[in-house]
Amino acid sequence: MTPEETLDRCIKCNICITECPVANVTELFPGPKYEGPQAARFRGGNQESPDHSVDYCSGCRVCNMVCPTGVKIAEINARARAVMVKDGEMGFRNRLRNNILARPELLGRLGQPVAPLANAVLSFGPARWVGEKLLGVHRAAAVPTFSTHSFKRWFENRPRTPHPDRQRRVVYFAGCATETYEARVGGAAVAVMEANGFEVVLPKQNCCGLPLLSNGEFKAAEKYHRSNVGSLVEWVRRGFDIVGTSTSCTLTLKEEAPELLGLHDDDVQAVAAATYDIDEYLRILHQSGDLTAPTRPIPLRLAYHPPCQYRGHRIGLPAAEMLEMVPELEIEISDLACCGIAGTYGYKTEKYEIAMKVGKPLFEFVDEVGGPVAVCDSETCRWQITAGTGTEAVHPVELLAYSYGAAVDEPLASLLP
Amino acid sequence: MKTIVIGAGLSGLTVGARLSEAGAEVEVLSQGWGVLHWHAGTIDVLGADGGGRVMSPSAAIETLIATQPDHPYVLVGVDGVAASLDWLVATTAATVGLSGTIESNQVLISATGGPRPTCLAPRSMVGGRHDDTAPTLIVGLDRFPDFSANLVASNLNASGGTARAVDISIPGVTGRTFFNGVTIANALDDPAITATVIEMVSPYLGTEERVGFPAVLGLSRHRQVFDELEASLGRRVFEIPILPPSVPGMRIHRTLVELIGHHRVHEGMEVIGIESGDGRVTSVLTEAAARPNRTPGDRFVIATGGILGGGIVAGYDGSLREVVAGLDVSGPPGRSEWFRTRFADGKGHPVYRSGVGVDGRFSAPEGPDNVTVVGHTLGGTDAIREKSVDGIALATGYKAADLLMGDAGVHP
Ligand code: SF4
Ligand code: SF4
Repeated sequence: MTPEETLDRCIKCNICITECPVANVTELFPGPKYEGPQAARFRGGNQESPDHSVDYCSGCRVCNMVCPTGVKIAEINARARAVMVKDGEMGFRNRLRNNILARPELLGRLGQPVAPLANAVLSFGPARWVGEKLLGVHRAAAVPTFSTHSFKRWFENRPRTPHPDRQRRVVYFAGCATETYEARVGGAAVAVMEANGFEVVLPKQNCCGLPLLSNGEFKAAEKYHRSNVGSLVEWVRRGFDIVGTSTSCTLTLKEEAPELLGLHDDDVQAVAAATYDIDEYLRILHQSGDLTAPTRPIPLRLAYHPPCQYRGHRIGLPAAEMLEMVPELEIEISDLACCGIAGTYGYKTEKYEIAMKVGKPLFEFVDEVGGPVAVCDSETCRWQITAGTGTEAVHPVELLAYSYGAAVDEPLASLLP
Repeated sequence: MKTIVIGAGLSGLTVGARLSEAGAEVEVLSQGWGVLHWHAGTIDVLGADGGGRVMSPSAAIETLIATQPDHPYVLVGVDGVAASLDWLVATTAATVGLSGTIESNQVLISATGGPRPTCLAPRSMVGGRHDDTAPTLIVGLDRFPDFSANLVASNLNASGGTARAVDISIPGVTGRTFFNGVTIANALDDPAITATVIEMVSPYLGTEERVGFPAVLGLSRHRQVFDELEASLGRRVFEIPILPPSVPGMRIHRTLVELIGHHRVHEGMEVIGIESGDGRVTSVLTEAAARPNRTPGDRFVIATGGILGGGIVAGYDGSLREVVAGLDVSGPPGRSEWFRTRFADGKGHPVYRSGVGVDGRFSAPEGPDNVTVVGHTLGGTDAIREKSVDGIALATGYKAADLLMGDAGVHP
């Protein structure tokens, strides 16, 4: 069933509208029911999209989650945006800007090797002002800092201790953020899998393409996805599972790319079926009694925000379940739907205010819990939390890595003995 | 012992909240939000029986238990229903403040200005008695399609009341292209907007002793919004439930979800299968990205609703199927028996009485041992027709939770 075909299930109950974080803070976006199942009746064929405000959908999927009848509203909206892009209705500047924002891999390749310089430019007020005026990237939006080392480089050169008991092997999908901005998350993931007796391999991979998908740039996204599938499927056929730490990358491999692009061939399906969020994978190991328990205590009380993209997997909250196993660690779980950033959404000048308004209750929650760091599975959400609260944020797997006895990077390193 | 509740309507959330309160491990899975977002925020226990409007639910339930052996209230008894109401009153005291008794229904003003019997009503609605002839001002909102103050006032006047209607505009809210009850409630959560409403309504007040509003008086700050209005207007204030999305129902929803912990209530998880062994269910499978997600547990509670809620699905071949565990459904044998010939037949349509039959422990006789069925999956009555929808959900959920607590070795 295509996303559009689910619109007939809509019973017009309006529940999605009550929960949509964007519609709740701005009048520019009428809400999921109108944009999704309702407007979709008038799209298609040669008709022009009846409502350009669909571009204000952040893609957070909150509507999908609360809809009692299973209408795929977020996907309907994403595909309607892609048609607008294809029909040239996006405007030249915005499209240029979206294409730059949506290529974290390219930005990383340019910026990471010259990290100190690139970081200086990105935190330089006048440069950000120019970026806002020329491109429409909001000057105050949360920009991460490039790591001083690329994850892949680190992975290939790290000292290897041979482990004869590593019977199982798993593919790690790093994602652009780990590769260029937060190599520490990848290091932690490797440590956690190794602590559970896995040999980790890092095959050829590229950007998952989600930023392009959520900007309606489907053609470019399809290229990325096909290239990932082409490389990963070889490993899947040899019996490897794929784990990832970026909730949006794993969701893209599992579902977003196949569903939005309408790609359902055997290879695509095989890769989707073998892809797991890392904590989802650990939970499955736990359920079958194969998990090594994390034992090193973490005497902290921290706010944990499960991002909307994580909820979108529909797997419950495995990261929270894993963190609950860490001795002494206290986790306060946020019940807020979205931090506002929604990937590239909150970077755009016309959407920055909306994103900050959406995130406000979460910022208040993080401030109230008040730990030295916050915890969140998704990279852009971590940066948004930091931008909104001044509190740095880590991935759950970093805490797990510490609890498994591994060395961790900042910001955890100086907090823990 | 971990209990997995399937369904987040009133029955499922009641089971979840009671188990959580008692310290038992529980998770609630639901396809999406439902029931309580469409809910008037009042608790109907029994509003009509064969003989017309019910004034005393307790007396009518006694009769019903004696005469209808398949009715879900038989499983609970009058005392059980009363205990469940007491529990909900206590549980929501700090948020919505329900009041009422099983001995007698209150008759409140409906969205069209007619009489609406119900058992428990929130603090914000008890002032809206339909038989109260005190002069009343009904406040509507400009360009708000979900509520007509005029209609309410004219129907009240037609039935012997004294009512006037006025529509106000709330700057920044009623001027929006799209707004609904929740938009307005969210706006009123801002004290400045509440103050504006007070300012706009005050000049219209004359001899009126009470002021009725559509049920949009705040969501997270509801109590304060209501108190501020009563204090500043110097009149009794009451809310009238309107079309969904329904703010008073959402207040109850939020209260119960908070009690369980939002992180233990997972929306977007439609159950598509079970795994079992040795006559017991071991886990449920839910629809998820790329592959079904497995949730293991020790006890499973089916609170998915009946034909209207999606817990029972009717097939073109005349079959009736319970969606989670495939439990036997009793109902009219074939499609031709589902409906009476007249659409609006006074006796109702037989198919709406269909459901899963259970024993005194809420287990289906032929079903797995560790599966409990509550709420409208039970069938045995046409709950909408007899205005018992909330009471059945609440009371069966309440009673089943008692049994589950016993099994888990925890106490309320
Ligand atoms: S995906 Fe998020 S922003 Fe878009 S309509 Fe749904 S709830 Fe609203
Ligand atoms: S929640 Fe689902 S069924 Fe209800 S209005 Fe939205 S799309 Fe339609």
